[in-house]
Amino acid sequence: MKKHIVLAFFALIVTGMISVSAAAFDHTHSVWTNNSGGIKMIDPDIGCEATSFFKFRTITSWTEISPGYNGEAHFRGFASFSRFFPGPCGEHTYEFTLNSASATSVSAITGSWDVRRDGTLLCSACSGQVTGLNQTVGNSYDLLIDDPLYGPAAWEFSGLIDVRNDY
Amino acid sequence: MKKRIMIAFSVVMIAAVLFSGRAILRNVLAAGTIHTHSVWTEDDPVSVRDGNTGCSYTSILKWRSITSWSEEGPPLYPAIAHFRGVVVRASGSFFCGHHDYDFRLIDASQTDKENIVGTWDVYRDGSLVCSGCTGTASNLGAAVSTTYNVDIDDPINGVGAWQFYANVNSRYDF
Repeated sequence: MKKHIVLAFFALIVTGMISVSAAAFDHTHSVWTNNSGGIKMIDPDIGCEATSFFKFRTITSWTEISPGYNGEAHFRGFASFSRFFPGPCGEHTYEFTLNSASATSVSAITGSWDVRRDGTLLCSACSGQVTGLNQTVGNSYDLLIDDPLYGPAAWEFSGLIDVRNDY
Repeated sequence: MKKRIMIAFSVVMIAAVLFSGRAILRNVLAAGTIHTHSVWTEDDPVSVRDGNTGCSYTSILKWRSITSWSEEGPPLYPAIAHFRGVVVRASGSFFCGHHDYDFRLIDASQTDKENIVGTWDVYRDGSLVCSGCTGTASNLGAAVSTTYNVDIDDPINGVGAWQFYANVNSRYDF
């Protein structure tokens, strides 16, 4: 009898532990590039590949998909080249914006993306995926976007993780 | 006659200034100077209110929230944002008990520097208690250590019944 009570008590504690952690199970993440900058950017329209930048910024945050929840994400990356630092792509500003996410995981966001150069939409609602988002600080993530004209994974935007937050 | 020329000239000048102003604005917008934001909170809560029971809690074991959004949309950009806030073991009076809460933005309809307007899901102890409810995260432009708030409408208990108020711990804007 005593054993039963002990077992029941034990089961209760285990259930309690499970229910407490359930709320925190669907993980949420955020990554910023606010200092180190970019690794690589490819513009298939100009046909250039830049590896150094005048300015390179990224903010993203996302929540992993779980039953009954489709996953939600925000991503915007920005790269620019100045008149005195045009690089292979010339004096332009680029924006890589996630329109909507179709899938999210601990390391990746898949969805439809807009690419703008100097404010002009060059790739509208193009499918693409950013991977490597689970890397530690100092490592890189990589965004590849399909272009209807230039083919799959034609656009690339890759940067370093400066700060991250996960729970 | 001279006066007419002067008037015509000034009209042209004003029009030119207005148009170049628009061009400048568009350039500034396109250059993405201060248009994307992110705010994090770690264990710096103000309060959470249960829109179903009416209980407010300020005693919280664990509090996390992560959000990021781009302010341009719409009409220039689509409204894009992510927000999730988690409260672990909010404890109150004997009647209110203790609960976990999970606030999730599921779709954004409008974003600017300070606000994310959209539809939200709220979970209590893992169960969906407010589904596709309209709500706004506001004051998101707040400096570190000051408060932003999420107010979500409840279909039964009215406007802003669900509340998630917290202080900004870290922020980044570009």
